[in-house]
Amino acid sequence: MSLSLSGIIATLNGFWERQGCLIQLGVDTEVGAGTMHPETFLRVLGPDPWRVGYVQPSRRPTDGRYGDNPNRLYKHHQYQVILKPAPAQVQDLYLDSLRALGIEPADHDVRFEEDNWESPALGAWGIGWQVLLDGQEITQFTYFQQAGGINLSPISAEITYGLERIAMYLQDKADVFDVEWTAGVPYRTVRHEEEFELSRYSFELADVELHMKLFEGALGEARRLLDSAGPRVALAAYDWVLRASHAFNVLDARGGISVTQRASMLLQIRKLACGVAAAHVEDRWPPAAKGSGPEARS
Amino acid sequence: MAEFLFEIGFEEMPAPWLSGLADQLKSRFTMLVSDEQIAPSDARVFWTSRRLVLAAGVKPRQDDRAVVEWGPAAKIARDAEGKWTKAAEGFARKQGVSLDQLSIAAKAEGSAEQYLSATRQIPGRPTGAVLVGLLPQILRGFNFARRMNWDAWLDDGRGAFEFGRPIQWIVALLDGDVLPLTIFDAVAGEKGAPRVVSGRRSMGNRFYPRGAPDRGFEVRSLGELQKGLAARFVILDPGERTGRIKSQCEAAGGDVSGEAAHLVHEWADLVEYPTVVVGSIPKEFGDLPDEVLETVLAHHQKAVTLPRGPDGSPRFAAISGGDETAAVNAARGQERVVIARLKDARFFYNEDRKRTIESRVDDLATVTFHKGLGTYKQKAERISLLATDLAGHLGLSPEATTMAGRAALFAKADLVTLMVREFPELQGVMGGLYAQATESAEVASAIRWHYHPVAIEEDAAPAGKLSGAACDAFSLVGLVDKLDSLIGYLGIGVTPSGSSDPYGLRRAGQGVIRILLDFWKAKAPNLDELVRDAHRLYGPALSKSTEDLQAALHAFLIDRLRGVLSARNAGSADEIEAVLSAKVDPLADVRATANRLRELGTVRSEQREVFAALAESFKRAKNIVGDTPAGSVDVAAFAENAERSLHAALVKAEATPSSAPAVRLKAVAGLRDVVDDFFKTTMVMVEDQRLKTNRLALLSRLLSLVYEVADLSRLASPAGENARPS
Repeated sequence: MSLSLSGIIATLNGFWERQGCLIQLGVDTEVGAGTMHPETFLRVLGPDPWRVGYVQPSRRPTDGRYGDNPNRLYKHHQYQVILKPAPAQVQDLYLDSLRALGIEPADHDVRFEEDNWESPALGAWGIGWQVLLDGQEITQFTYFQQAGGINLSPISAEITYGLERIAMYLQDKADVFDVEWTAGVPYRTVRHEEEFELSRYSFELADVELHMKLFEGALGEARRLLDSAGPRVALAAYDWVLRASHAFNVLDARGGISVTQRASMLLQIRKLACGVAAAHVEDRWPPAAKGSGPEARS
Repeated sequence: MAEFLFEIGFEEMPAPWLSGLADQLKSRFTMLVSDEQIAPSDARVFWTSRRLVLAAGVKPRQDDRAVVEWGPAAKIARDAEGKWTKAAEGFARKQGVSLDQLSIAAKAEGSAEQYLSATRQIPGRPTGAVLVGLLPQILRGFNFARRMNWDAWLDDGRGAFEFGRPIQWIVALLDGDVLPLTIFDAVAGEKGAPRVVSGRRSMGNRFYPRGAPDRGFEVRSLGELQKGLAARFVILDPGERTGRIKSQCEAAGGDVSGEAAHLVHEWADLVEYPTVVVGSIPKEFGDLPDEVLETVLAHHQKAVTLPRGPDGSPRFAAISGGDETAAVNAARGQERVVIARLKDARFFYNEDRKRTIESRVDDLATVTFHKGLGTYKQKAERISLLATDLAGHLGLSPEATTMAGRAALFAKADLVTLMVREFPELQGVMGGLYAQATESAEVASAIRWHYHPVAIEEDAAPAGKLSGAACDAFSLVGLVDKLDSLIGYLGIGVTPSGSSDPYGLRRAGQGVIRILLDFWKAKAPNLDELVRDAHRLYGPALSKSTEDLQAALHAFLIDRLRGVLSARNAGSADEIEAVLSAKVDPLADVRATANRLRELGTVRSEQREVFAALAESFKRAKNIVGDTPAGSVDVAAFAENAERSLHAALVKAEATPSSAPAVRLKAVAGLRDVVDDFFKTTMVMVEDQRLKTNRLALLSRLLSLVYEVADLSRLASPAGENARPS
């Protein structure tokens, strides 16, 4: 009997908890990927070791298909793991996690193919692979090199599983809506209406002017915090950067922005994301105490 | 001979890098050991996605060497009685040699200056010790397209050690003995614990053979490594992997030439143990155009299209790294991915066809061509006008003119279709397919091909695919579209520099040349007029003046013409220069230019020595004449016989038709003796103004004789650059 979607999540939680990961919850604001969670974006900065795993519901308005497409979703789910520093045998660990899910790599074509990851909006990039299971991309595997424009050390390994893709594979379903969420409950029952309504909203109904204001207001608030509210505001400012990023995604889907506008908006988000990263590093590892504070030794 | 074996095992390296990295490994090793007196021989490299291997024969010990150190001049080193001085003793002490090892010699053979010298014998070290010192330099020596920080450290004084992907193991052996090499962790910018330590242990395939508790195995030589890997599902030799893939592909009915050959090479470096799997696509997708099927397969799944099955269902071949059992799952998985994409494609295809191509032109107003150059709608309207005007100038029929105008107007309309948004590489192709619903076959094919030609070869697409009115429509639209882009970009000061050509202007320019050379049937277009018209249509967006723009485009296209002629080996470099420097615009009719080049090559190959001599004489004539305006020759002013003979021969040669380059070139070749004679006997720059002016005029006429074919002074001659003014 193959695993249900919730069974996959439970298995990954158990597997990575045994590897010393803190099992967290997804961030409670709209994001496009698990990388944007502060448990990734901010924790990969600085010297402290860190291991975490969580499910991140990820909204990508432009990928919405009104629930009509068997593969594309307005909202999908990522299982995100951060291992910092990256263990020397991290690929083997990952392959063991597939075995835990009932995928014996020897019975399939499992391949690590070059795919370097980059998020212009976060000033972040890494080196790595997409992991292909019989030709289907099921995981993005990245050694982070930079986040918020800051060179990282130590290097974190990020493993991002596409949960729907893995469930479709394990359950041999050609349509994501036929995936069993939990025994007897199909994905369709749980999510189809949401896919339809949110696709409709972002393509047809979203108020462009309002979202433009939301975008500017959110960035303005982040900027105000970073510029003039003193230390220890980075986490609060980061929430606002995430909100701006989501407003941008809605506008992008709605067709409310031109190409040049798009580039300039991304640049504004990036600037503030970099500002947050710098402020966070400054707060946690102040220059005088860098490398000698209690945090750094942990 | 001893065997040096070096294997770097790593996490999967990007396939396109591997052969280049192997080359680097070999040349780096060869370079580093070249001064080490260990006589490296038979250096060989192998690779897979997870390893680079170098093996070479070396002497077990360096040769002993004698090193000569030079000291002070001889006259300071010996006193009057021939005894060593204090200075000589000091030198011997410093070099660590006894006095009887000193000698006096000249530094350079035959030199009178004598110096004190000491010869030290340096005993050769064991090769192992030498190699141990070089291994870190080999590791450091790779250039990666992109390198990564993986928290590694090398104890070679430089510390932090980046690489293409994390290194997992290292085998470093000299005749089976381990050469020590350690990569450490880097912790907070300092050296940490050892991470990778060299040894005899290599690794087999990640997953096979099944059930093996340990993927590692020990080796002492390349032979053992090859044998061990072969037993562990790793084919070390890239050629062997490619061969296996090709034969499996061919067994499935696949054609592995052309673009597929490229894929096969990439496949061979993706997996350590390649197995070709065959997938089949349900017949219902057979209605999709072949171009769409191939794009989804090749560009998105790196799969090779196979001939359709007996029931018409499309088939494909893909690569798998698994064994025969896994291959079954791999084939099913690949089918599933391909079908999902084809479902998308079919949806887009059906949606797109609900609208005519014509109705999409207005939507192009939402797509920016370039921020300084407006939208694609403006571009579509502009190239439609330009194509119509040009067809009119060329005197094409009203039907052909309308065709070109329509094709140009709709050429970009597929940019706003779902299909092209999803599969951008299908631009043009989809436009052509969609246009078939409402437009003539000629208009549709002109849209289909108008981004071409992109390759430089004469037989590359769309050669052989278009004829008659379809070829005319394609030529017009393809030419005008590319020129419009070039004029726009050059007009706002965007030009390619070095390797940076983000808008593909060089390729566009090359396409213009190719269209004119290979596809153009009408009389040659007047490019300056085209620039003027395009400039007017762009309006104030372009900052350059029309004249500057004409000059800029001209220079740009001459460069491209040079590139095409040279890439096609249409002539040697000096012949191309000679023809491009002729006193006739090479772009006025590029086919005539290519023809002149061909004739020059032919005539010259028959009389190499004559043309070498002429090249020299023409250089000389050119230097003498300089900028002097050509006067007319006065027969009465001749003083020498050589002048008279040259003049008589010139008059005869001038009677040959200048429109027949071969005839004219042969006539010039016939002048060789009289020209030589003239230069031997006649001084041009004499005091007597009348004589001088007349001789200058004579030389001008000589130069003009073939200036419309080629500037012969550009041809290589034995004296080459040394030709000097007399």
